[in-house]
Amino acid sequence: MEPTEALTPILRALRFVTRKSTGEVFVHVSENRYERDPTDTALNLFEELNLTRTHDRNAILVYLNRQTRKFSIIADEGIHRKVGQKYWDELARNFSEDLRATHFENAISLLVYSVGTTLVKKYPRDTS
Amino acid sequence: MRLAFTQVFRSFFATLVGAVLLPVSSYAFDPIPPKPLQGISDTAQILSLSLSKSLERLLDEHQNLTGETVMILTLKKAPEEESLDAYTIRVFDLWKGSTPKPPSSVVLVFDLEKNRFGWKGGVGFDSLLLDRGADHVGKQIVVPELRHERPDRAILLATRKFFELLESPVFVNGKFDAEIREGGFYETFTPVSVTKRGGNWWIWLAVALVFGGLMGHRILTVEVHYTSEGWHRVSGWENTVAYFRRKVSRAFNKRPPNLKTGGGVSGTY
Repeated sequence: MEPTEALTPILRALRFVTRKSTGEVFVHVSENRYERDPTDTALNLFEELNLTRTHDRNAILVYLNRQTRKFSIIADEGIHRKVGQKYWDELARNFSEDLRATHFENAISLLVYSVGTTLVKKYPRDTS
Repeated sequence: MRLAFTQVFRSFFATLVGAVLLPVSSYAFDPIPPKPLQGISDTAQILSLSLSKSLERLLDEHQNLTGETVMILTLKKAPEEESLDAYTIRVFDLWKGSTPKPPSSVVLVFDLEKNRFGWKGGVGFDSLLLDRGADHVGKQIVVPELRHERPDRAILLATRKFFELLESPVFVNGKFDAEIREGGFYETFTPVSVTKRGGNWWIWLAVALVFGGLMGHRILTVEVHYTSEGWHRVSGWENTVAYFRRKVSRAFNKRPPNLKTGGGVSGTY
């Protein structure tokens, strides 16, 4: 299916990342109320979307289930080596607070901007 | 000495044969109720007095008009040693003896314990009834009604059907229905449908509803995927296929070894 290009806050954030970095961020929002483990689904998605294909292994998948109010952030090994687990834990804490405080699209776009900034620092796109 | 031994052996053999034959003889002479004077032997006491009298009048009138005898036997419990058909034949053989025209007799036997129905007609008469579909009466009328716990309806509707099959003037002129109504039966003469008589249809319906609901949920669950190129709603078909593919791959533990993600985190909000 062709993606819809209607600009949402999330899309804007994603485009910021693509423009400034070689890293890739993907976002998946689900409403499956019977899902037990979002990490499992996210890992399956990571595999199905073939996100390990990036040159620097720096793809990130943000998975959010709005029904179960659970989320999972999966990062490829390249970016993970550079930032470490502590970074993800901090990110998850902030994301959780944002989700409680604001609309999910805003929370996701904040998250994407946040990881995007890190990706820009670690994997800047060579625009010269 | 030899003579005494022979006598002892003979008496022992006779006792042994007697012991073997005793159950057989009791089976052979399993009691059959005496032939009813008015055509109905309601040993299970299903019919009310007024209905019983109405039915008796109808059976009597049918006999007067056609010379054919229809007899009814209801049993709380049929003998277990023989089939209902065999029992019905024995009832027929016993009861037909004194009917005015023995070959033109029909016996209807209702076994209420096991929801069974048997019938037997005189020579030539049974083939006529078979041609007209008498064998379906049990399956289509009696068993559904008995399972629906309406033995009275089973008896009345089955008898009515036999009158119809016999093209009885009592049925044709509508007297059967009128007489039964007078006896206090005000319900419809349409047998309870086979589907309505219970079984496990509701379990199947529940299973179908649950399965349909789950499939519908899988198909209709909203999933949106965002990339830098845009976003798209994951179609129901894609979603369903992915769901089953995951199930299968999980069953065979087929996660590829090259899937090595670095780190990750999960949480709730």
